[in-house]
Amino acid sequence: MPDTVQSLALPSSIDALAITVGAISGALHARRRHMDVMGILVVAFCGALGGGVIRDILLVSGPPVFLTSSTFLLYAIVGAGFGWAFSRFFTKATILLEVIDGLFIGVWVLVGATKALGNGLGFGSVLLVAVITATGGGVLRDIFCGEQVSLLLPGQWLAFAALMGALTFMIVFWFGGELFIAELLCIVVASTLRMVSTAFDLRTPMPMDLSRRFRAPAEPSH
Amino acid sequence: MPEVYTGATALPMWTLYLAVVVGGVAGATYAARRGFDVIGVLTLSITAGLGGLLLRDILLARGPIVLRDTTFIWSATAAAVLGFFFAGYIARFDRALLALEALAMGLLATVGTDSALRAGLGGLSAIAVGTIVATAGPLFRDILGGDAPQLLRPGVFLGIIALGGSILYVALDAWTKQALLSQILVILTVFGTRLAALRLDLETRSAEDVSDRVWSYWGRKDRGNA
Repeated sequence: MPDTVQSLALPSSIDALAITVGAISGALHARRRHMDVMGILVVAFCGALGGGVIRDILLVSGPPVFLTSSTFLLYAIVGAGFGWAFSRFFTKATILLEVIDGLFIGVWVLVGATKALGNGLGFGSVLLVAVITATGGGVLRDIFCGEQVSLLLPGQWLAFAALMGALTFMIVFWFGGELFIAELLCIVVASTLRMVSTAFDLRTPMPMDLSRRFRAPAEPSH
Repeated sequence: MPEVYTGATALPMWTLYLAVVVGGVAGATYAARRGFDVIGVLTLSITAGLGGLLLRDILLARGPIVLRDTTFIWSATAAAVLGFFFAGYIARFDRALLALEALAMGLLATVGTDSALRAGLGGLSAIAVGTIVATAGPLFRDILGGDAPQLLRPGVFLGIIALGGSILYVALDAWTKQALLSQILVILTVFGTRLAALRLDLETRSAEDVSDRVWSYWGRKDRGNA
């Protein structure tokens, strides 16, 4: 395995945009469920920062980033405020939000993967941490709203896109590719899969019961 | 034995144990009302009582005090026993329980905020930690019980008071630099506000959309120019 990498320092504008967009979509989620101020703040924070919190807890690398860098909290508050005040506008601009959201899935996967690699985790663990970073916020959001976790229900590719992005990153990196190319490919693969599945409404497969197919056809099936 | 982190409270430690008992009793009576069994009552009393403090230590990345100091576990267990056997009796004093819960919420908010400040975090982060510690108990209780959390729905001021208490503590601590004094002041303020909100039925409203108002403002301006 090549040397471990330093955890990736993204330009702060990308961080800011990713967190703000996450907070806006969290706030919209809360508004659709007629929550109050506290609900919007909590759900927006979950959507924006939740995945990173779980990642930092798993990696035991000190307090989560959102506590040590207070600008993260500010971005989340700004996003929550925007989502709260202009929810009707953002509900109409779903395409805009979905495109940005799709782009940032790749970014989150990459942040999670590089941070896990920097902590010296192995191949599979990096994949897991990367996917959790990208999807954990949504899971926390659904749990706090008291709903079924939408990640587990059949729907458009989210965790799958994240996993494929992380896999691409790790394969390129593992076989000694340029770090920059690995990062670029990771974002491209994850975001493309996510956006394609949203655009064409591609659904994740349901479990298929093969036992029936292997059973001896003694009885007529209908 | 390594030095046990004793939680950051300038008040005597038993106040924190008492806060755990109060939160635990609230969780246990909730479980009893929902018809949960003995494990359900115990689980809910432990999560509602200890959840906030546990979450604080996870967020500040250190060994949870609720596991190091076993008095915390015993306090939550005592609360479960109370809730299991005397749920009906406790339900008759629900106003007293609400008042005690308000006291516990104020204490937890100050403890959370103070330990985040002492861990070297900034003011905004400390406010976030204080609010999380103070509200995690009721939130976990509702999630485990399968309810939409009361904390997030419109209703009598609850989370907003914990938020306000944390903000007030950061301000007072920076101003007076006296942990005990600011802690007592914040607890009294939280207690008073919560009771006043309950008495006067002060309720949070569900979120409001101002985009129409903004657009009509711009629209008017356009018409004026035309």
